[in-house]
Amino acid sequence: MTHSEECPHGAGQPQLYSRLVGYSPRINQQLARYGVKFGLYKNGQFEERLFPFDAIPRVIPADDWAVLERGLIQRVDALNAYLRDLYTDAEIIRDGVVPQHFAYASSGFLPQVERIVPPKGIFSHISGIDLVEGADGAWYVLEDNLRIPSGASYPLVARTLCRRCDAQTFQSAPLVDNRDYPARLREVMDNVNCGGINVVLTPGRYNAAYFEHSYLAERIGAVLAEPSELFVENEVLYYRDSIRNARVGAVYRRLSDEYLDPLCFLPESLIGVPNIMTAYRAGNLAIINAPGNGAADDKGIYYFVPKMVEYYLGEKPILANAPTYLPYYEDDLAYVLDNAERLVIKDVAEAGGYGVMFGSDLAPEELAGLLAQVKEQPRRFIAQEVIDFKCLPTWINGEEVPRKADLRTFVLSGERTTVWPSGLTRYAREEGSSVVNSSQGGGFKDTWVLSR
Amino acid sequence: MRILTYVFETSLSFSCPVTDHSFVLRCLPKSANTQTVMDAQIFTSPRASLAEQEDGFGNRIIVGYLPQEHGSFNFYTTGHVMVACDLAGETPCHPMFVQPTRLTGATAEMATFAREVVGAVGGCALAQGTGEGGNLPRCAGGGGVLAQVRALCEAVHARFSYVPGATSTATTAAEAFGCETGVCQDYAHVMISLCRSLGIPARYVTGLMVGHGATHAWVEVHDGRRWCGFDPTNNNEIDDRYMLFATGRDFEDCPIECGIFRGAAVQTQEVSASLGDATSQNQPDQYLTF
Repeated sequence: MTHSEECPHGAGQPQLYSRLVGYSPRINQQLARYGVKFGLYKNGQFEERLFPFDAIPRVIPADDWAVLERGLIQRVDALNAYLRDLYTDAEIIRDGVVPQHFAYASSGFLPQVERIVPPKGIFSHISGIDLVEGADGAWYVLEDNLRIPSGASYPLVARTLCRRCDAQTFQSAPLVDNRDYPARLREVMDNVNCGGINVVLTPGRYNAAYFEHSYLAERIGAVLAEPSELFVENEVLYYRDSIRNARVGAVYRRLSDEYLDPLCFLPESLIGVPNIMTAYRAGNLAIINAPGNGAADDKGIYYFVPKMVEYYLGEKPILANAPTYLPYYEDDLAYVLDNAERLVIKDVAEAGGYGVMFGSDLAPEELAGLLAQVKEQPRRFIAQEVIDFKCLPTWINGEEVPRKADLRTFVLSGERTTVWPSGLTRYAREEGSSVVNSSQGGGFKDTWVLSR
Repeated sequence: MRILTYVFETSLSFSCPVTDHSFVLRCLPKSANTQTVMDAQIFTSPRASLAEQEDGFGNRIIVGYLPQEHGSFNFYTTGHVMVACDLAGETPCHPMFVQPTRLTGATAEMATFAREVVGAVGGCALAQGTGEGGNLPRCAGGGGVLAQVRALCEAVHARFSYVPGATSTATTAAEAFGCETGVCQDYAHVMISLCRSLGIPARYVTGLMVGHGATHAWVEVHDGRRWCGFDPTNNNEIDDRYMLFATGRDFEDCPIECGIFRGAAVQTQEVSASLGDATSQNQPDQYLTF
């Protein structure tokens, strides 16, 4: 069996990037030199690792991109509408489109932000929507990340380095420029700024994405601040400056909701900014993304996103979910019980890759045990078809080999919702594997959107 | 109907001076279906500029910041509240109040206990969880739920011994249920946990009680129409002797005071509270029209 039969991949238009491939080692050296790394906690130790870069880009034809772009804008607009509704009148629950249990049992639902409508009604300013291209050529949304999706800086830096190595490729390729991400991000912050400076709030040097925090702050002209440099007085957030304190109007926080404010969320958090939520509640501060967004991006709610598109926008969803079943519904339960050995079953309460069980990997008695649990607690689980996703040509150890890859797109909601014409393509390290996580040794590629 | 006047005072002393002190106070009574706040004031020492907001649970919160060095922090609040439990109007229930929380998750043993207690009462069977589309559990006549809750209140009261110091503010309902001792917070958490295990929406209430010199905690359950109060510590239904400060899913949602400061200080706290009938001389004329 040849690779192409085993793992189909489309025409990558190699003539466009062939010159770049030889520069791979040099680009990786420069990424190392610029500190383009990600951090990892392993056995209680903090480690920084390089994120391997493959110079063969993912190439998305203009026509495909146009569909993705419309679909992503539609999806994010619906998710924002859902969050606005959920934390105010919850009409979608009253109308029975999303069952109560799925909405409120989600650990991302924060009653502390009930009734708060953020500046201009935007909850998810930066949405990281993860997609895969199926072997059949159709795109599927795998996950919505509406909390603090990271990763835009990697392709941004890589594009700059690629251009430096081989300017000619970028002169001739009909490629949409992606270097305006910082300008777009700046526009998103300025759009909701309530008066004052823009701040990027980082938990600090030992955060997994510290590189990205410092890079983006510099590129968007915002102050990079740690929590201890901020304080709240009279419902206003201030940055402690050596000369005078500066009022903060918008904060792009790279700190999870639960650690954001020890007087509102987890009292044991030592890294938050006390009473930052009171500045937000008073309308004196925009928090990007809004606290409470986890209520719209968990595994149980994912199933309902296409229904949200219809409910709020009155449109047919352009992008499909991976086929998903909720054992909570009787028909779905029957299907899951009959087809469990070829489905992936996920525990809604677990996160970070835990509680994900492939029926095909389980011994018959393990599978039976799992299905007994599903029958007993149907609300705790979802089941999905395993998507066979398309491979991308990848240069590893001097030869071109097929590797499975996903795509994180970045949707920015400012005055209008737009999609950054690029994204983070992550590929698996091992052949046949669909584990693309950087912590598992995967690498990344640039994502090219063609202009014609 | 009754007009109550209250005084509530807390003194925090720090073993060494602290700075950058941010705080949130939940000790102003809120207007609710059982009470109307006529006036309420708050003072702090050292003086701080205070702002009033409403939190996600509809509680009045007072927020402030004391950047300067201070060795103690006192707050004092006083006011008048008209309490009329018999006139309580209908109030909606947010579905979050059937979900378990970190402090109120029920063990299998607790769920069994709750089923046995209400089983003895009979009445209607409650739907597991709440209905779809935002419907609340409804029993024919509505009184069925309250009869069950009354039985649960009595069962919690009978099971527990009131032992101050046996538990802490971090004790969960499951732990308190196991050791059968605790203070009002533990009684309330256990009762909330039992109610929710049956799909009955329940919430935690902090406030003051006539004749009780400290803050008190009790429970409200939603019977499909309105929130109804029960005090498992005293095995009472809530009446005009109670005035509420704040409500939430559990203790963590409505602490009277929480703060964070810079300084390696140990904090000690003194609380005094009183709640009683407004006397004629401090009762303004317009209140007499009722």
